[in-house]
Amino acid sequence: MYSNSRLLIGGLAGCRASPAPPLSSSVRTGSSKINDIPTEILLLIFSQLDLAGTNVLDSSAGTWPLTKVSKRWRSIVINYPSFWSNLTVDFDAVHRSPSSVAERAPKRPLGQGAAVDADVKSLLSTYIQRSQDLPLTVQIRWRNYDSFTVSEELYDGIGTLMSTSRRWTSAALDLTLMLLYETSLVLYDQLPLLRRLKIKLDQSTLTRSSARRVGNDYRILSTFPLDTFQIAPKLKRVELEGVLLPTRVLCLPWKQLTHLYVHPSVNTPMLYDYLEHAVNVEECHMSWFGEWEEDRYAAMPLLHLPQLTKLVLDENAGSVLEFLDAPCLEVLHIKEGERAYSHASRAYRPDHFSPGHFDFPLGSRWGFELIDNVRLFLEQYSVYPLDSFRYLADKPPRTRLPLKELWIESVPFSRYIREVLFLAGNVEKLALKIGVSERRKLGFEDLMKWLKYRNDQGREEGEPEDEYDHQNMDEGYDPAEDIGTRCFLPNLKDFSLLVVRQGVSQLEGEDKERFGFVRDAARNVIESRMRGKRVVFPGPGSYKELAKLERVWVDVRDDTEGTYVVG
Amino acid sequence: MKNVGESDQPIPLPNVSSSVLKKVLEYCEHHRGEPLPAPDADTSQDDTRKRTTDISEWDQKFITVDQEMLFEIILAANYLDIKSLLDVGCKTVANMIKGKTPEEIRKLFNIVNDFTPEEEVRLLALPHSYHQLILSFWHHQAQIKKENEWAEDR
Repeated sequence: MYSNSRLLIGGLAGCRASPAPPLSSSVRTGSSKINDIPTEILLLIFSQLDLAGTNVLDSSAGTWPLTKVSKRWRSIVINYPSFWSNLTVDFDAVHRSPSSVAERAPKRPLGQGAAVDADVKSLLSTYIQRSQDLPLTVQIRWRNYDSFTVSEELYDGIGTLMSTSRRWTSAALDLTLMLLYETSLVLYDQLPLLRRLKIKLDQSTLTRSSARRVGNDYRILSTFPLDTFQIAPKLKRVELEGVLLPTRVLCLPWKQLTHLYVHPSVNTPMLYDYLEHAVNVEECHMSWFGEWEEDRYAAMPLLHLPQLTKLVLDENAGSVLEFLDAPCLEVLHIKEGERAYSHASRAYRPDHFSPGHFDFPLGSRWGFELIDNVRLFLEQYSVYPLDSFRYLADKPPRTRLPLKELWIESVPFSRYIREVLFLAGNVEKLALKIGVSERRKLGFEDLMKWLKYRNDQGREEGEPEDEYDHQNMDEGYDPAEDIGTRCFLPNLKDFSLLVVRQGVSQLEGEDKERFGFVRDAARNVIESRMRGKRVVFPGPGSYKELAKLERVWVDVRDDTEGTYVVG
Repeated sequence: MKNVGESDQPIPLPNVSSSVLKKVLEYCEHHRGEPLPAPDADTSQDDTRKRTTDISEWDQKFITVDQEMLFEIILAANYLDIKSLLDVGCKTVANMIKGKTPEEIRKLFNIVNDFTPEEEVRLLALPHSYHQLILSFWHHQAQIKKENEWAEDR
């Protein structure tokens, strides 16, 4: 393939140099308008194809078909290295030729363009050659890797790929633990341009191999840490997904990192470990399933992250706030709700996670911790997952949150949201995505009431003194909190509210219209905050100007839609 | 119209027919007042930028025209330097190309296959032998059968 392509390229180069052949000119004046399109526009069209992410080893997908349409297209595509600078290589999709299939069947059907072992090297070499010397974005997936059955050709293929590592600016490795270790030996000190790194260790890659082999993996790793990525002078963003490795195994230039994304698939307690090392992180996204041990972090020292400005906490990761001291934190985004539940139930189906899967002898202490955590999670999941908002309400962070932006996603609606808003009194931008059902009506209205502008007497305008129905307030509501606090979130300038109405599908006619309270309550909040007001705050002489709303966006999903833009 | 600048002088449009210009004006009228797209400089920087082939509903309806008109609009948008319209046009063509085999693309746009038969054989044939491919296929089928039987037994 490679040599053939070179012949063709040579031939095409000759064609371009000479006057257009009669065939070509007849095509240009022929019926197809696309032939009149200049090359720069064809390039624009091809760049819209979103070729990133298609498997290089599938010759019927991505950039490959474009080279086979006509000589003109071929010449354009081949000579534009940007089309070849994004390498997604899915070795799992390689159809293993019979000789190399020793133990197990191929996992995927034989597609039209699916490569076999023998293709791999030539496809990769051609692709890489066409990228010329551009920096590369590389994604490698090989979860079915098993060193006992891999053919020479496949080894050659991955060798070809690894030889480009000095050009990698972004690498996403979705490999087995053993292969990650093997490849890292080749990559040592070979990643001068790497800026982004994603390591995904899927649970299945640990359970697929026999007990003996997995045990070996861990034994090796606990003896030889993965220190390859430690020498990557430009590495700033790291994303860790699936099974997390502790910092004593996964050596990264932690102090250098500015962006950290952690999405574990099992309940491995690494968040503290990572943040303890990534002291200069500026933006951090974290997911968490399962319940935190009560007071696990209460006795641990606060982690000082002076550069952290944005924190996104998914699922039940809200309790990270318990040990963070982030004096520059401006944006906090907490996501929780149905997704957390469904994700958890999907990821931890009993058949997927039967104890049998973990019934292998693990060499390291960490391995035992992993098993314990999974079991712990399963026990807890059967009870109830933790509610981040409740957690935060019960255990406010030990440090202040000088937030400017707060994003909250809670579907279904958590009645603890208001308490979380207490933690962020200075926000200028608030985005709420909340699920509201008829049953949660009171809680929603209460929250909206709380968000309204109030006058110096702590009452909403035109509201008689006894209108508050304290019996309707959530359990634990302390009216005393309101005394002396005239208006909450006085700096709010940008308010977004997305209400997901729940249980609407069963309603009809008038009942459906009863959800009008959502719109009315939102409108009340907005109208009350649309004017600049002088508001008294507790403490002698502390006056604050209520910020005027500058931007408001309200959307009620499914039925009513309204967008308010305040000039 | 990068090089024209502010001027009262008439702008010659020799490459744009009246029917196409009408379409272009319709597009501009609809999108009047919208902010200009961000400069290209940002796009290479932002890795998370969604390079999407999504087109808004109105634009989609607008661009549902015959192929000749579609390419005329693209050429006009390019000539008149209307970036958003050029984008919509290119995305539409990209959507038409997506997922198609070379033969289907040729058919769609009426492109003549100008490869010689020898070139085509070298270009299109998979590098491994036909015999090997067939063997692989049957091996795969046998494995699936075996797995199914195993699953049924369970």
